[in-house]
Amino acid sequence: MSELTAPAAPAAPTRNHMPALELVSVSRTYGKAPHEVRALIDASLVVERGEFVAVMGPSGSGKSTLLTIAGGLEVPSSGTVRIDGEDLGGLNVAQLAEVRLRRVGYIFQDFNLLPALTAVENVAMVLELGGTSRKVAEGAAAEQLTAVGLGDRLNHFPDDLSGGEQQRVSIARALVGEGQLVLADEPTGALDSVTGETVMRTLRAACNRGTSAVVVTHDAQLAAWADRVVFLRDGRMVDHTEPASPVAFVQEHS
Amino acid sequence: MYGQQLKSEFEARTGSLWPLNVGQVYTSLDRLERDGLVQSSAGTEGDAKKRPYVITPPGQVELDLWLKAAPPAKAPPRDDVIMKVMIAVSIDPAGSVEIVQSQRRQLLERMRDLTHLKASPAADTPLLLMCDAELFRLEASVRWLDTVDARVRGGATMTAPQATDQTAPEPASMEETS
Repeated sequence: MSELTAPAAPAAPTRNHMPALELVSVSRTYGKAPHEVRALIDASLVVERGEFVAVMGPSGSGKSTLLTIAGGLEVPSSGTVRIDGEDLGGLNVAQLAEVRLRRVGYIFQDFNLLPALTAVENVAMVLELGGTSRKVAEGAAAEQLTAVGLGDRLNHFPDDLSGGEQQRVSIARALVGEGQLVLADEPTGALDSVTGETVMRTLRAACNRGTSAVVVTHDAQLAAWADRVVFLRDGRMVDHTEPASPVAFVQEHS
Repeated sequence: MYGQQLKSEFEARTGSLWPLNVGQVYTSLDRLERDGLVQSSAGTEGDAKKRPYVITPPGQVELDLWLKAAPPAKAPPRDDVIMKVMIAVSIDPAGSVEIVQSQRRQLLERMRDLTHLKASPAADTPLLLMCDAELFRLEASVRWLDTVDARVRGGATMTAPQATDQTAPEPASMEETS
């Protein structure tokens, strides 16, 4: 408490000063020579806090492998992955599961909501799994759902929500708690273009508030919402767009 | 509505993308009046700039037909991206991959700028619709580049270009003169 209020407290490095995600020379090979498949080759990527990065490339270029490795769902054959400065390679299985649960939010094309739970319960579940009481979890979930424009849909079941609303519930689920890194795989693939845009505006707004996002897609209109587009080909990062505004909308709370 | 007002209204409603020459507006209004599609206010002779025009019932019918009519089928407008990539592929299919990527990156940067414009509070409906139209057009170019990529890398469907050079002398006639 005193540290938070003392004006002369030394500015100790915190997680907030680390990039949200770092991949350093990450490679992933499946199978053994001579039949090995090199899904990802020497990929390096830094995603700052509040930054929104899109990864584009044809099918089989390594997009999804990059995402699963970034989220600690898959272990790289070589290279380093850091989330908020923490090296995932140094963690045991339980610690890794903890990082996946608490620090990373996932958004999938088909929403992956539990049909028997309401919107608020779907979102709160992430926190409850981490040991938060139901009351506190549902309070935080309601807050997050309100932030994505679903304050009037808290107690709706997924089947009673439109596709765009379901995807916004999954964004709220990805954003809830301390996790400030969102990883998304074709998040608007199942939606029409105007609904998809609503989802992208929601994600963009979250990044403007300090969330970091990596979205893999082959959809150029979707990628255009990002600060930066990285291009993958045959497992290699071959190119990237230049950032339009390097200080990317991050608003620091003092 | 006056000619100057018509020009301003047209530009405001189409995102100011196609500015009109006001002289051209008056020429068109004269022609439309000749054809009975618009009418200038009765009894206002003289300077065209001071005459207000109204659309006539036949003009309404014609306007409705025009709005619904498809543009005539014609050769696609010259597109520098398509042109450059086709030339690059014809010179060196394997080497064209980098040119395709360079074009793709720049299209994405342009799309990003338009998307930020669309997301800005300043975006009114005409600007929003215009950004959408331009984004779909650029997206089509990106998708075309993706297809070029796939074809070049697949190789199977690539054939040598067949130029039809009308000015080259026929081989037979060359033999006759030698």
